[in-house]
Amino acid sequence: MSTVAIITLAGDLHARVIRRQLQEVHGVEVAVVASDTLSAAGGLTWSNVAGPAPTLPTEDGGVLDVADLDLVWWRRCHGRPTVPDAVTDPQMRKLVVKDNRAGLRGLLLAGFTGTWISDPYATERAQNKILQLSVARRLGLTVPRTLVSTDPAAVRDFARAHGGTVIAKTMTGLLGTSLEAGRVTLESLRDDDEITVSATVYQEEVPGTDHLRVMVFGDAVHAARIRSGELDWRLAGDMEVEPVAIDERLADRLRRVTVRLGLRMGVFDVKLRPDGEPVFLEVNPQGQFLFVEGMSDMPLGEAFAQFVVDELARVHRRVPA
Amino acid sequence: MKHLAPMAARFTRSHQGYQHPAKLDAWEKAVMGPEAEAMRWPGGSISGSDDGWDDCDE
Ligand SMILES: Nc1ncnc2c1ncn2[C@@H]1O[C@H](COP(=O)(O)OP(=O)(O)O)[C@@H](O)[C@H]1O
Ligand SMILES: [Mg+2]
Repeated sequence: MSTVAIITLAGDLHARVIRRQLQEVHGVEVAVVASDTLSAAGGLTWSNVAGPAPTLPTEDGGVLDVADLDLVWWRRCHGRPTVPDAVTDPQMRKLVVKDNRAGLRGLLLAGFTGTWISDPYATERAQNKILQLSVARRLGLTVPRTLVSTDPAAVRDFARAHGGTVIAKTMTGLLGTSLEAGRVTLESLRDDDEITVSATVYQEEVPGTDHLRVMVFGDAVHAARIRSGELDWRLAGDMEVEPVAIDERLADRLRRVTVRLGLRMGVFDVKLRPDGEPVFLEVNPQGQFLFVEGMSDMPLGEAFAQFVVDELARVHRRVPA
Repeated sequence: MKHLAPMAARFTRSHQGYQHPAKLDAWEKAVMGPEAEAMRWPGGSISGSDDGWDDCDE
């Protein structure tokens, strides 16, 4: 019997590590469902007539009974789903992906009554950077002065007002193409068409070399300091990562952002100004955290497993309706 | 015709020549064993710092 399901993409290291930790250390059964390889896997069933129980296929070729689940870790649900080559019409290939996605969601929305980490719709909503920046600021965090715009005059005025150089970054991201935050100068903002083509985040640059990656797992807060000479540390060769204690006020504000966004967890990017002031950049509702363990030896896999165990205890305490 | 790209696409980063930190590499191999190589996300780390990799409906 499975009590925990991890919905993710095939071959996800986070899912493997957490499953192992939950099974071997905590005795919790875990099933992994690969949301991008549902096509041709079989094993997805729901019905409103007596007989078949709602099931989903697991990554290792088994079948999972949705009624047995107490907790779903909703980690990754898009990716680049596989579709058999035999489906050749591009429109039909899209339909295959959309129908499998709707089947997966529907089964869980209708038949799963346990706890989500985190709710799928809250997760989607919380990904929006405009919403995040607004919520973070309202809850007392320092955030960079920001403009999101497709208006050339507004963008140039913003750059001028910030010394002629601002950070530009994307609203979302792309699978398979790494996009970084970068500096743009007023002189390079000449082409209106480049500005009007899509909404872009323009921001004052937060100076310094020290960043925080803060993992909020329920009430627990784990922080690492990432030091790098590069503006965007993600593919930096010089990245140094160390566990740090953060003050309770910051921890509490980050917890409150998580709660306000309807999430059970959040992985925050914060930059430390040279004067020590932490500046909120973003929260990733399902951010990566095991690279922090790999780089710093902070036991985050176990911390996450413990979080799941605590969430399970809350489900079990809940009085049935 | 002019080839337009969004402003933020000025900062596309190629993985060519990117060196996965050795410490992370060793950790991933230790936790995943030989499977780690097959799981490697193109150019990056499988325990990865890139949060964006699910963020698409292509
Ligand atoms: N305003 C800023 N000032 C300085 N550095 C920034 C700023 N915005 C982003 N960065 C750097 O770029 C990285 C990526 O930006 P972030 O806001 O986390 O967006 P995403 O990770 O979704 O691309 C940050 O972790 C930080 O290193
Ligand atoms: Mg980030």
